[in-house]
Amino acid sequence: MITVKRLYRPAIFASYGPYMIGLAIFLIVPPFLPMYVQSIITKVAVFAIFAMSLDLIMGYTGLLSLGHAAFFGVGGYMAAILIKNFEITNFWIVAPISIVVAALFAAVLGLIALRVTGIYFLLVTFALSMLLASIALKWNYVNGIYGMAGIMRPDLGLAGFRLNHIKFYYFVFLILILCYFLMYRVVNSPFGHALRGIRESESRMRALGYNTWLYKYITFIIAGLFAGVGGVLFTYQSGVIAPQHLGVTVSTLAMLICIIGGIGTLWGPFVGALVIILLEYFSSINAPERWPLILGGVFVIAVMFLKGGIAFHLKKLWNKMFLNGSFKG
Amino acid sequence: MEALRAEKLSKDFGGVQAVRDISFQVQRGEHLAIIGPNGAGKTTLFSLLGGQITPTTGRVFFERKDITALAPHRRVHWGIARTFQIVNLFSGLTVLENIMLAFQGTKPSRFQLMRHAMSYGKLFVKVEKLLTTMGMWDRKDEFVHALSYGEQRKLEIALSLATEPKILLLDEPSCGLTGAESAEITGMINNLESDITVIFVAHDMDLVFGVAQRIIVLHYGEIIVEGTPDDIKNNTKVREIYMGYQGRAKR
Ligand SMILES: Nc1ncnc2c1ncn2[C@@H]1O[C@H](COP(=O)(O)OP(=O)(O)OP(=O)(O)O)[C@@H](O)[C@H]1O
Ligand SMILES: [Mg+2]
Repeated sequence: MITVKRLYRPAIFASYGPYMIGLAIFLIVPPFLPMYVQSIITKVAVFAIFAMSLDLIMGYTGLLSLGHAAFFGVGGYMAAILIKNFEITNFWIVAPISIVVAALFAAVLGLIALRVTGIYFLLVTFALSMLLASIALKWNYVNGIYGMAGIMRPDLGLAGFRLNHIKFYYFVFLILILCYFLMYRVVNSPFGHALRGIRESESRMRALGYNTWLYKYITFIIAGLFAGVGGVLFTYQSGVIAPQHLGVTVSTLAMLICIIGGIGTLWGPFVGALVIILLEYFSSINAPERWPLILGGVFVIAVMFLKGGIAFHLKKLWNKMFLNGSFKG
Repeated sequence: MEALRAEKLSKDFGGVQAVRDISFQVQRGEHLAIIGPNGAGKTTLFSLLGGQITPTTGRVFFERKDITALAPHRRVHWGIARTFQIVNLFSGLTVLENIMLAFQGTKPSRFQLMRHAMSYGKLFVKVEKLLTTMGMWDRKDEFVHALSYGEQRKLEIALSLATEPKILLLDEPSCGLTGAESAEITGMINNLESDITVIFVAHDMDLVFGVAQRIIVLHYGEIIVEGTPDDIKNNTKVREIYMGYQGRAKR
């Protein structure tokens, strides 16, 4: 018979250990990694923010959106427009404006998409994001099909301070932590609990006094806002933003990241982003044309063998390892 | 004092007239039973009162104010709570989380975004009190899908009580329960504060006669008789319908 060795550790470690370990690794290790790996984990952090924002509506509220990239793309485009077309370089001006614009788009598109539910919501969000992508494709102001390129790392407006490769990584990672913290507060608040209630039974929530439409609408805007944060950082990280970043490929990528990582956990999408972005990198150097196939394969495996996503299993493993294992996540 | 009044309520579902021209009123603190065979329109009537569906014609008044067009969640804030015939709970959440959600639904803090949901001490005291009276306090950390059917039925009622209602609409609260469990529900309703109005649907005659002060009998969407429990017991029309109904149920 296999027995799992149960270790006793101070309760704080049993409850928060995964955070400590994760933070330690992602704060200490990166400077020792090759530059291209630093780029990859910066991209992981960017997509983790984006996927977490999707988790708010998908995992917590139970709304399946196939158009979440719209807000990622709008955030990214807005940053590029400000930088390239308005020549505003200061990050502290560019980022807030872009993020607010992404949230405003969510506020407008949410009014349309939330008129329907279920599969229709999926279709409407899909259609709206494709509409935005096709506008970007035809619009010369944003360079049409070519997208906007040549965007440099953010200018933080500090004299004599420029973000180099590794500092940019830390910058993005800190924003990830901040976003995680804020979203964590949201999902654990009364508002966040109400979202879970809506996911479990919307009719019961209404019968308890909740205006469920308003909850979904506010969440859609919050998720759009954080998707915008991801989009802005993506533009800086990749240096380009193009029509496809508004479209269904990026939306499904975020969805897969959430499902593989584990929905309804927030940190699951971070794990998912790590797995998917690393895989994407390896496939891009070995077999770029096979990427969709690999992604599909990983997805099938995750759905069949990793019910609840990686996060769920990691959590279970952790809580088994410790007598007083109480990692909530 | 008048608590709730229905005025010529009708509801058509395509061709089916589920509720036809129903008018009645309830006084504050009254216990009113609505009985009738399957498909009589009892649940439909409840959904009209709770706001889940809107009537084809007719109006609903709460404390003399017209609430026909009021959204269901607003009605809860006014003090109308309902339970569901088919248990409608948050099955992936714990008992405690279910009850917390129910208490928070009518409080301004339900929109709070940054404070931890479990940090509301005052609510927690109420939760403990309610769950203790329901005999479910020691089950608070259990997931709802892991509860027995009887416990789920109790939680169904507890959720509606947690909204601190003035009017309680209970749709078959003892459906599928054992005799003992059903008796527990009877006791619980009778122990409610005296100014809480209760309208309930039941097929279980022990519950009906153990709780109701007045009974309305529905048949094919219409009120056929209305009266005290004694009137109803001795009414030949009701006996006819009910004998027929129970005969069918036995098959
Ligand atoms: N949403 C709906 N769409 C169409 N028909 C409906 C709908 N809801 C109820 N009905 C019909 O209306 C009639 C009344 O149904 P209702 O559920 O109100 O009866 P009930 O008295 O609650 O019955 P039971 O004792 O079985 O719960 C039935 O004929 C039912 O088929
Ligand atoms: Mg019914």
